[in-house]
Amino acid sequence: MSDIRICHLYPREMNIYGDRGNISVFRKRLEWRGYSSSTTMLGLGDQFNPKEFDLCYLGGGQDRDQNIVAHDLTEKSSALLSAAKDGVAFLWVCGGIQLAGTGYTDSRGQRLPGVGLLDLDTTAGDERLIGDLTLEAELEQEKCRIVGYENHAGLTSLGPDADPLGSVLKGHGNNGSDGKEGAVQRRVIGTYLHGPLLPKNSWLADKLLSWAIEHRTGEKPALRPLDNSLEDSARQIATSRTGMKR
Amino acid sequence: MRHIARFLAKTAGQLSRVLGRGGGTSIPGTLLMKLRPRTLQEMARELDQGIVVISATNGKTTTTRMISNIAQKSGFSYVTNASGANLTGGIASALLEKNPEDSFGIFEIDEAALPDLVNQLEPTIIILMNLFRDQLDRYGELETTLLKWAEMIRTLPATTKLLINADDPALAYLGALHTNVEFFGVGETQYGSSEIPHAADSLYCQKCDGALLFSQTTIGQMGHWKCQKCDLERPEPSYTATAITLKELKGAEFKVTTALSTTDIHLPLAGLHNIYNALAACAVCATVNISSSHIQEGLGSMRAAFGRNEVIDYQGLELLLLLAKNPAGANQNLKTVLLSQGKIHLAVLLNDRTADGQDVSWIWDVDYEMIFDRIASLSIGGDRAYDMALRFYYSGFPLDQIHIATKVKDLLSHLPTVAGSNGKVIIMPTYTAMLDLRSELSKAGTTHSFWEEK
Ligand SMILES: [Zn+2]
Repeated sequence: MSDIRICHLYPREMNIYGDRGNISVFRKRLEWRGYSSSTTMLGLGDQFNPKEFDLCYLGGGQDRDQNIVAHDLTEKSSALLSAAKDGVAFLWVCGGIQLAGTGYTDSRGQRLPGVGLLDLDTTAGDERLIGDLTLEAELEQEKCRIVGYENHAGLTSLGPDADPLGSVLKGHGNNGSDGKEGAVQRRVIGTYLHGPLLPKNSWLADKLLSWAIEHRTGEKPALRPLDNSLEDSARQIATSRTGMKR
Repeated sequence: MRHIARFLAKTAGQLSRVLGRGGGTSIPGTLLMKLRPRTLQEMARELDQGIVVISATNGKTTTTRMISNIAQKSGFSYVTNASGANLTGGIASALLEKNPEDSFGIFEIDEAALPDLVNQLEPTIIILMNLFRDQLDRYGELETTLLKWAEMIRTLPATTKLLINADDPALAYLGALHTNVEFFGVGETQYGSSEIPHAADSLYCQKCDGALLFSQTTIGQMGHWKCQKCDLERPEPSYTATAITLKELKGAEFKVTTALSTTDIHLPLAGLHNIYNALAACAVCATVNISSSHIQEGLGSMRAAFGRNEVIDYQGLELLLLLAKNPAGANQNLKTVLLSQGKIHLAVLLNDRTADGQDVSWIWDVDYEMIFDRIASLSIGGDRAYDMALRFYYSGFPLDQIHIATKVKDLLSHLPTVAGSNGKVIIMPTYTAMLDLRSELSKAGTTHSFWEEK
């Protein structure tokens, strides 16, 4: 069987919340089901070839690093857009969701360009939105609770072409006011739930993996269930941190 | 009024201890600051041999103890916040306990609290040791701390001596903002690497955003660096650690080389991070004209600080406590553990309380994989034990070989069953997990309470 090809963008600059944990989850859940995978790390100045990948990940970084990355991304944006059109799965997290949008206006009014994978725009807020978050997500008419941790100053608003990933049950979400979290457009998912989001949310990991496999093989796979016992216990505790009963 | 305020605050601390409500290490000071905020400055000014403040992400507590130990050997009468209470309340409490003859202050200070406390304490020496990513939900990004420190340095009087780690690129750049500055750093060493570790920060030039080139890395982003775009490079240190030999978990030997002298140091604390700590302590002590023989004596007689390389005998079982609360610190602990021979019984404890940081993402930036093939048994505990178990699970550690016990008591009773009653266990707890552990151990009559330390 052919490799599922994962692209990890800017692992050196955008890795502040243990983002590589999400890559580990992709790789292991593929491996445990008998799929082989390859992970390519692309950094500043590297070419992104849309034909070479089935899944693309971008994590979070410090403002300074995000600035550096934003300018480099403008070189890759048309290739990234064509990959998204072709059905490549994307997970762009934290700083990633901001860079996936149309742009970011910082506190001094300076504008940072975005790639335009998601119809959303971001403006710096006055205070950081920090804490545990639970949301009710919906993808392909399937609902699931997602638990995670957010820490962002940017306030994000969705345009008409992007759907929210879900509704916030506890926490701030995209902007702290409209009760929505994340964004979905085609197979591109953006979320503020940072770093190792996937170990506790394998439902989301498996959605992205099934999209990536379908992109690679042309067929929708039936993914074998895996042992979720650790995840279930970790989710329970994380959910209780938001003040919710399970 | 000022004496009444001090008296009331001191009494509150004693009362708190008598009532058994924790160490009372910050309570008197916090109360005092409410009663009479100016007292901190007044008390600080009574120390006529000056004040040294130590700030860093990692190593503050140990370095503070090193300086204290050396100061003691050389006959200084000093006051320090040995309990590690390093916010305003903790410093004020320490100053309240000061003896009339104390003339020197040695304080570790929280990174975020440093600018404000420097303003109040008016220290004669400030030592900046390292900045690593740490508890982003509490401290925010490194850049935020750097900007605050830069602002602080710009307003320092020229009489304040700044001692900075040349190996940390972002900190070294701060040195350019002050005239009275000296650097310290680790020379070329066999323990260095040419690779940049995963959880390294500050990889871009503070001056021009160019990528930094490293000919040696030691811990995180620290090492021998230069900008590939502009002329910024690691400043030449006045104090260099050379000829380093790490002796497993027993300690280290090295030399401190300056333009004028070379001093041999025998340090009974393990790991490269303790070389940095000791070097920082040397720089401070040389600055206040302490002789190299007292420095040697002070460092040579070091005992581990609370939970940092601390060995505890628990009913015949030897527990080595390695506090691990952020990626750089945890990675350094793992590297230190690798210096030992043979298989390791490991226990990792993860809590997510306020003092630990509520965001547990950081565990994914720790390279636990480096010791996988040395692990004889793995026990995981703490409030967020399952998050830690997932960390190992997704790195391919066999699920059926992970023992999980969220309660410290259960974890402790499990350890002899895997390590044997005379075995050795290495424990890596977060801060509050360590407090839990010690409280459980002291119930078993094993350790003393940390506020009894001086
Ligand atoms: Zn430069």
